[in-house]
Amino acid sequence: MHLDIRLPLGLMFASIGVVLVVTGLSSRMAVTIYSGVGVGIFGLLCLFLAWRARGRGRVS
Amino acid sequence: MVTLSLSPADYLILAIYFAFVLGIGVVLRRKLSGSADFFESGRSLPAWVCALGFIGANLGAQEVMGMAASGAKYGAMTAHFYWLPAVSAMVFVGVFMMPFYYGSRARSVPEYLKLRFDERTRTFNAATFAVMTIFSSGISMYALGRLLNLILGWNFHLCLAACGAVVLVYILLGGLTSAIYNEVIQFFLIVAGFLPLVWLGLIAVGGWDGLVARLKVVSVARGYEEGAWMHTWANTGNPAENPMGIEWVGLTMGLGFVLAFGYWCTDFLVVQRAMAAENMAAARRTPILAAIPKMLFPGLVILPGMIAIALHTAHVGGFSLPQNAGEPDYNMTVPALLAHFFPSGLLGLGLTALIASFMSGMAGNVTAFNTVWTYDIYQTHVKPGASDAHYLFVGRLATVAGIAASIGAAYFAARFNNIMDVLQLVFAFVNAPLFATFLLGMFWRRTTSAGAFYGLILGTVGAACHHGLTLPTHAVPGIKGGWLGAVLHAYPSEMAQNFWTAIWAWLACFGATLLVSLATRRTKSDDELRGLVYGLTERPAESGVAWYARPASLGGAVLVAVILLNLYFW
Repeated sequence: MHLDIRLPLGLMFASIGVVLVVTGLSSRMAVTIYSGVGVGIFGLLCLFLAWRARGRGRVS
Repeated sequence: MVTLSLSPADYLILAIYFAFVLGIGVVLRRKLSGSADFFESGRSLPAWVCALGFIGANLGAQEVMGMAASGAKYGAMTAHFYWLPAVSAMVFVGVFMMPFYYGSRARSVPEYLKLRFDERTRTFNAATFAVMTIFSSGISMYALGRLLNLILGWNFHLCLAACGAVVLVYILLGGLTSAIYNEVIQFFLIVAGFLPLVWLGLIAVGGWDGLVARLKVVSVARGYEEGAWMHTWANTGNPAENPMGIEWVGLTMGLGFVLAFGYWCTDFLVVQRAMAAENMAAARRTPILAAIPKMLFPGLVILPGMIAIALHTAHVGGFSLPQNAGEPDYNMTVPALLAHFFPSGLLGLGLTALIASFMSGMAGNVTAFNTVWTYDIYQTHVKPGASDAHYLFVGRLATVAGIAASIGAAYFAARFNNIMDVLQLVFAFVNAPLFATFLLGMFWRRTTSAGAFYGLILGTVGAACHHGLTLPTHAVPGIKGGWLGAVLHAYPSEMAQNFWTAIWAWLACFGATLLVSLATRRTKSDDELRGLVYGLTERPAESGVAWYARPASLGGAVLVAVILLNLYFW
């Protein structure tokens, strides 16, 4: 049962982050942009951790 | 009435969530090789994933919406559901009980009861637990359908069918791992969806100082001392002096000891998450790691309710809670906040977090149900000794049946306006005595099988007698109590009555188990009880492990932190 949950988690949050940033920019809502950036960074962090674990041969 | 209208961006976020949920199931399907993978995640998950699953299984949307509602109605006292009672119980199960659950190689909580006592105790627990999980799952479905119907105008029946189908597909594909992974996703979605809500709410109410000042007005307006909405313990000397109507004895014994320990230490729904861990050390750390976010969650789910009632009472920023029979409709606190504060995009994120919570709640119950049904009922009483593939097939069939029964329970729930009260009562009837059975069974080798079985039954009868002879003030005899004819005591609130029902159930079970055990002969030798009873089991070795990775020291640090939180909000 080896699938690193950080991979789908990261991809999902990065995608949602992009949607929020684009929506915030088009509607000029700063709170949506900030939230999108926060969510997107969290997604990228998860992807980085998954990539690093794969490099070390350790899967969570 | 609160109504939300979604933009294409909101729908896109919902679609992304559903795509990933189903995608995870598809990927896990290819890695699933037998019943152990399906029911137990192959005991292969790391502690942090199990910990988030452990807390996520308890963090259904009813919990999220209910705690926000309670935050508005009762204030900071609602944090008792998160702090000392829950955290102490989680540390206790990690430090003391997990070595028996995990070390005995039992595949479920009822199976531990079989190893420790006998088949009838296991069957009694398995049957009551299976019924409870179906009702819990059904109520979760009903609440989701009702909420989406009310605030978005979506068709109730379609919502039930669609969400039931998604949960069914991802459990059929990936089993317990799929459910746990979705609980992890749900956890982070709630954090991402509710943090901006708290932030925007605090700005609107004038920051922390503004919130405190406005809650003083709320307290005085409702006839309490001005700190009643901000303190957790200060007004518990007299039930009439706090909005929950509870005194400290009922709070510490009922919620703090019996209900919290009964739930976190014996309910297979949560314990199953820790039993999926990759080794004993990870299993023991699971509940303790889960206690860390548990401590912080009042800031995400209770605080919004307190902000809402402060804004509502002070008529600030145009925010108001919807009314129901002349009173604020507290159950609509979260939807009202989402509608007021969240613009397009963020609204989709908040709504996705709520839907994810509802679906995780259902999935958690259904995975616990299919395991207990397959291992503790089918394999034991219907067809023992069949192949692994057969039990995997039966597990999948039980998943389909569990979802179908949950949908049935959702329609059943729709016919009653107080089904949630009934379910809470069932928890007090089932979990409270069970905790006494476990406490004696795990820590006193003299506890006999007859003692455990009759103790459980008498504990349940004790709960029924207490409930039947007491009543909350202003309630009429019936489903809320007093159905035995005479009302011997009236409680200021239903919550107080529930806490004391749990206390009586626990005391009855503890006393009966003790007496019957002393009056009957042991049927298991010390050798047979090795690994199942504290005094007969070798402690897991911890030499060479860093202090923060040791369950006892990690648990101690968590307890200190929660005590500090209690002192700050005393």
